[in-house]
Amino acid sequence: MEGSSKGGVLSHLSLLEAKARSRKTQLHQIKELRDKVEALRIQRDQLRAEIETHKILQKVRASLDKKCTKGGEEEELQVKEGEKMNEDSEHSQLLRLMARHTQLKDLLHAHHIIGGYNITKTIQGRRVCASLATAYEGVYLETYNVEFDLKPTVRIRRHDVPPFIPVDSLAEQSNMQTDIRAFLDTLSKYLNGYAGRKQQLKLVKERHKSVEVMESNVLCSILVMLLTVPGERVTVLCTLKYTDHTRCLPTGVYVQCEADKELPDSPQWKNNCSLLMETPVHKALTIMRDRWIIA
Amino acid sequence: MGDSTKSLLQRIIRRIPSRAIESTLRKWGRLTAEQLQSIDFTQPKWTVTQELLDMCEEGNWTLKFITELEMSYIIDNPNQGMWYAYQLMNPEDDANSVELTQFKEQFKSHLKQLVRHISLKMKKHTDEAVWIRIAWGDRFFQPNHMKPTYAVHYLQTPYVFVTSLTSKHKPLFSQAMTLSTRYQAIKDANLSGRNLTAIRDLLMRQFQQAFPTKHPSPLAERNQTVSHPRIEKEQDGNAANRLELACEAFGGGTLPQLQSAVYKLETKFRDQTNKAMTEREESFKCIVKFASTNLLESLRHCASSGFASTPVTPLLSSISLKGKNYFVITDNSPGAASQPRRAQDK
Repeated sequence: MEGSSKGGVLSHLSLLEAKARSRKTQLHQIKELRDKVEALRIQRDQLRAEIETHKILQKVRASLDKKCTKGGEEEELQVKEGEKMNEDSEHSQLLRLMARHTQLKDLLHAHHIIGGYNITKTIQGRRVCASLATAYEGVYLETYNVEFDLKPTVRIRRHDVPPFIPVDSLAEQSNMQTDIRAFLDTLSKYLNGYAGRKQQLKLVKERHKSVEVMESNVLCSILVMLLTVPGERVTVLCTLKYTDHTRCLPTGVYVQCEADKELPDSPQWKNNCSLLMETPVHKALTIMRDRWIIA
Repeated sequence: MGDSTKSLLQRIIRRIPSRAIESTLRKWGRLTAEQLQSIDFTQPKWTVTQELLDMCEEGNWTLKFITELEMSYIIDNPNQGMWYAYQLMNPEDDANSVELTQFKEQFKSHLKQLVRHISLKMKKHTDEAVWIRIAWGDRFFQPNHMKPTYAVHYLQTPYVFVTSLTSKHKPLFSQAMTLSTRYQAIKDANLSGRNLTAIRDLLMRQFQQAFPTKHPSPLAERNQTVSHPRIEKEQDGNAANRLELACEAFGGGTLPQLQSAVYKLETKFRDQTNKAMTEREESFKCIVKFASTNLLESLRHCASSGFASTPVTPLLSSISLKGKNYFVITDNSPGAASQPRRAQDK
């Protein structure tokens, strides 16, 4: 009898102990769940704040874009913005900077797509490398790179532009400290002009075997060709001068003929000269060949 | 005249290695097909030379022919002797539009005004380089064809590459060059080497340089070797980083072949353990020279394998960056200051 009642008390005690333990774990679980709820609430608030910032950022960005395209409506938008941003006025500066940052990134991306130049930042923002692509008639040609040191002043560290393109004098002419874009734009023009002329020379040599190139130079700013007139066995010396190094078309066309002094003044050759001034040389030569002017 | 012509021919043939004689003569184009066929090029060089000397006697070859042969050989094999680079400074307004004929005429007339007896030859190569051969004489002596000066210039660039120019003739050459290219001055570019193509590539920026770009570098793509998936190389990241920095400093791909780099130090001696030297007022003058068959390749390998610390010190990377291999380092400017180098006496 004592045994069974002992068993009963002990079992009762163990039951109570088990209940107490389970309540502890329950409490523990409840505590865990409460913590989780808290964390999720914080996360939700964070996300909400991010969405809000993003919305404001988009508005600021839209206003920035409008500022760039139209000058007049800024004031209206600024007033509207001012109301909304009164609460976080100390953040407005930061938001404006962030919007400007996204604007610049999009501009760079657009530049890359149209085959302009790419800029990459290196070494924690102390240096910047610009890659300028050149193209002619829809074909991508060489890419040139210029690396700049940004501190203490903006200056060119190294580049792989050939020495007949005056990078240093272009850098001196444009104010690189405030407007690096002007310098890169001018350099890009020179490089594209050079690449275009070089490509034209290559095509002339490939496609017009009967034309003899008498003189050219590394900058491709002068081209002297010997053209033969079919039938009469007369040779014409044609000189093209490209004094504007940013252009792919010549600035001067001169024609000489030993055998027939009158030839350069004939209306046909005057036409040819104007053709050579207005059309890229390889195309002009093809036209002249098709018209049976040259062999 | 015949004797000097013959001795010049002899000298030239002696200079050309046996295996190149046939191709050089063929390229020269002055020998007829029969004459070329009649020479047995497998004979020892001395015999071939004799045959050519006989042909010279028979054909009455002039000095002009022989110098043409020499020039054609040098143009095809420019990587011998010591070449020095010079830079033209302060272009006039019309420097950019100097034409070939104008340059040739001006150079010839200026040089002939300065030196009474001179033999000049100018030739344009297919890669737009103007090759100039000058045999110098003076008031009393005819031009000496045994020691001609060769110069290479690309129009519209400020660089001139010269070999075998004595200090006596240097000012004359410089004056003629600056006047005919429409620049105001010429100075030493502090770059020299046995390989003309190497120093030319360095200055004309025709070697592959590594720039940071958004797109993956060709180096990374090339080095992706397929290795066992269970093997992971601990040092891979570091090695790739070192290689990238080394290539950025010296260049990627095949590098121009320089033979030496000289650093002339004029700095104060700094070593706390040696009081006697440190207390001296004057700067400690010393010259450090790095020499190798392919200097840039060796330096790049040093940096990429970890012997030299990366990022590479600007003293070494200036070689590729500035296209120089002679530097004077003073206390104020630890970079690469350039000063005129003493002319080499021959």
